[in-house]
Amino acid sequence: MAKKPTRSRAGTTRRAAPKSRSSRRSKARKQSRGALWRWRLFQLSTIGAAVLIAWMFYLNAVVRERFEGQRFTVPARVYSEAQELYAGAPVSADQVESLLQALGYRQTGQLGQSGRYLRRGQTLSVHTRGFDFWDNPEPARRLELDFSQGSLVNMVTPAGQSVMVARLDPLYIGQIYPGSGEDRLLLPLTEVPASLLEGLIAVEDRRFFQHWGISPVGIARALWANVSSGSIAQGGSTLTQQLVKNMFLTADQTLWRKGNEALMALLMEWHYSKEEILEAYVNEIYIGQQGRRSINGFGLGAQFFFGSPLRSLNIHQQALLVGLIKGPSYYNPRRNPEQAMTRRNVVLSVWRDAGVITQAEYDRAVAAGLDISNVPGDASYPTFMDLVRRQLDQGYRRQDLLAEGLTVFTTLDPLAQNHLEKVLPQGLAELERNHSLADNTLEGAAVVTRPSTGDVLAITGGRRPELAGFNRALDARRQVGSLMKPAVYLAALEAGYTLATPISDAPVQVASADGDLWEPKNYDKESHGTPILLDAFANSYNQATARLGMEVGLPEVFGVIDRLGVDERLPRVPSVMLGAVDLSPFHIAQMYQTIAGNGFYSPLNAIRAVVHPDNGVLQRFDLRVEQRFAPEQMYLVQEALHRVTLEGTARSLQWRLPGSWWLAGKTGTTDDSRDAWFAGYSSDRQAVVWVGRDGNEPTPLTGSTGALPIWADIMAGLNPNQERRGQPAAVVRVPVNAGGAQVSVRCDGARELPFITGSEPPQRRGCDAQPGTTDSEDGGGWWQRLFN
Amino acid sequence: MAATVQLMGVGRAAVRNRRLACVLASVLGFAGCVSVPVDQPNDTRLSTWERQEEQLGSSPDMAPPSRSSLVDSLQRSARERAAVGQWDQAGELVLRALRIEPQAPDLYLQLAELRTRQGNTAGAEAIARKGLTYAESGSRVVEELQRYVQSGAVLTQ
Repeated sequence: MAKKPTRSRAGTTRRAAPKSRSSRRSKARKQSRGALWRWRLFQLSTIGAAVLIAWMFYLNAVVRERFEGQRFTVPARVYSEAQELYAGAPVSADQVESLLQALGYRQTGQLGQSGRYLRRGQTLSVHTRGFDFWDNPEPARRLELDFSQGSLVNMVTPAGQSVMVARLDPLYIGQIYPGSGEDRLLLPLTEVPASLLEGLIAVEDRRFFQHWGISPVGIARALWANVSSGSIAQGGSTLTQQLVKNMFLTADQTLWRKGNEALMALLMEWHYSKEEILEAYVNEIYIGQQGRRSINGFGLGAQFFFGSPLRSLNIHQQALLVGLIKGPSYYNPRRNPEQAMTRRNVVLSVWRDAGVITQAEYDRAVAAGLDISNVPGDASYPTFMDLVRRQLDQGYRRQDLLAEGLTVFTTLDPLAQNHLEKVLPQGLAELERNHSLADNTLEGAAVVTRPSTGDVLAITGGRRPELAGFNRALDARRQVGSLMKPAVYLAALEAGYTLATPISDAPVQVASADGDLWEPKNYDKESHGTPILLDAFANSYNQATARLGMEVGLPEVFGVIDRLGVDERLPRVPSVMLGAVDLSPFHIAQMYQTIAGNGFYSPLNAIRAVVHPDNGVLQRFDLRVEQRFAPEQMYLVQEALHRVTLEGTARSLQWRLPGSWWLAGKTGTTDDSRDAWFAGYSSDRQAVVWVGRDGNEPTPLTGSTGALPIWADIMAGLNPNQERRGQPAAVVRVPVNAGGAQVSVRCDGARELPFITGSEPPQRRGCDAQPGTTDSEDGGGWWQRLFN
Repeated sequence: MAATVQLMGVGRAAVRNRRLACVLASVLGFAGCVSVPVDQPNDTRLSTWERQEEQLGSSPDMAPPSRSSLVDSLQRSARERAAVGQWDQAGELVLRALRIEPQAPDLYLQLAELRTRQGNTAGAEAIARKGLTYAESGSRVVEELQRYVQSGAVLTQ
């Protein structure tokens, strides 16, 4: 046992030498390996630093490009026509109130803030928002509006001073060419309330003016504040980091994203001032969602949640906006009012503690309700927006339209549009009930215009107007039936016919160039003798019209159709005269626009002005008129259309609408009643209605029974003022009998018809005289003359 | 194209007077029909203006201004804008007026004037021709409108 250690030692000693050598070798290897690793580390560090520098350069470029170029996605915002207010305006208190609600105005007794109103009986007290219209800014102001019998009769300030005219802000109706779903109202920092800015910094980043983009102190302080308060009242990211995240990065909670965020925040602070960063923040921050539309920035947020401009918000409203940053969905005040209230009050307490507000202000603000507007303050009119897009594409350069922040002012009349969208589905449902049709089997489309300017005031492409889809008003091509007849009669009047010229309604055959025979029949399958032109037109006789058209000549009729404004290429066949041609309701509206416009063509127009954020007005609507017809001849056609509503196929309008209204219009029905139309106007409002089935199946409806009732309901709501152009000086009125002869006004059935001076039929003595006969042939003896 | 035409029917003044009379008659009729005791001036069914009518009785001074005074005001503003060369703003003011009174020939006259000053003689002629379809025969505005029609016609020859 005793030797073992020696041996062992010896052994150890013996083994120690190689171990020592091994250790040295190992050490050397380790040193060598360490050096290698250090070298590799150095290499890696160098490469990493190079990559980091390159990455920093890249991030720097990203930050600078975005910040110095177009900072924000601002889609082209589209607005309706603004409601004009003046004593005498034909709007009721109900209509103005509905418009205010659509605009997001709040009914309240406190009118100190713009975007508020109060209704008392027939009086509306409104604090308007004001709006920067392209032609003239409209100030925000208090107005007292008194209404009586469907009109605004008095408009004064609260001090009783009369106000001549005012405009409500226009209704926001959508975006065009949005690069993303983001929407915002850009505001300079000077238009943001100081309390909001101070409060924002107090809640989100107390050391904003001290740090360089990232703030370890801020993170620690926020952590401590949150732990001690038991709630997450403050965040650790600086405002700059939040801005970077919103502008450039995703919301992913990854180290990679956080690292990029920190680097970009440093770069941003290096390049830009605190004021620039703060201004970008208040315009960028995401605070709400409406469908696919993302509500960004405090400017739009104020309008979206409170219906008021940012500068007029109260302290408690400002606090809610700041509170929303933390969780726009969770704290959505419309969906989760309790959470929103709690969050707002936390923000208010932070503001009080930070000295942003006084204790008294805090007490008042905490006691206030959320004060949220009831509606988001916009509307959806896909059919009209479709028309706007098409007209923009036609009339504007693409690169102009893609500019950020365009404002498009349109002609849409929200009251007319809402009325149309209500009346059309109701009318179709009623037709289905009355004619025992299955529900939702009928479709319809309608267009409302202003003849004096060609403005499209309202348009709907189906019975569910809120849905974008097949736009029947613009794209449905349907046979138009008798709506084409005014072109035939206008061509006849230009050729020297008069409204009293007799025309045979006997059966007629027309051979086409390829030998086919066209034999049009009257709707009632009967012939009606030899009516005068006026009666053939008013009763929509097909046989008489076809004969008249062939007498006048097809080229002349097609020339009239072209001049009326139908820009489609139509087949040059006789059946077109009776409407065997496919056109859209919009085409018909354009065609009748020329008639209502006294023979002057004005293109239908949906856009009033397009304003570029930097370059001002790109283009504005200017009334374009082009004389296409003699006003006297058009006056006669207008008279014929008027007679349709008095004694022709549209005579039911006499009881459907006030008897004192001057109306003009034409029914249209196609084979097997596949299409029912009515087109007409009264004073400065025109409407076209189509009813049918998408599959082109027959219906039991005619223009009179299908489209006319809906047209009447539309016009009843539009309530056009009843001005009527006077009779041209070169037109005279003479009494004629049913045969078209000029007779005494005392004859039974004599009607005073207009004639272009010199074209009136010669006077006859007998009441039953025919225009082509002499007095002796009429049988009017001396005794009869005594009574004439 | 056919010669220009003149109105000989209902003139603008007549229309205006009739409209004013209708408004007055309807308001007075309404005030007379609604049984609101004068000792209850705060009846919420009536507008402030109607309540004042009830208390004060009908007064010509309380009648709402006719729409023409508004149109006149817009026309004046348009002239002021035109005087400093703001053609677009001037044109828009006239069009605002035209949407309120779509058959007022003097608005067409003003538009024709604006177009002429902008060098658009053909446009002025077309506007003037349309204005004539609303103008009362023998009125000063007819002469003015015809001047633009003739100058346009001369230039196009």
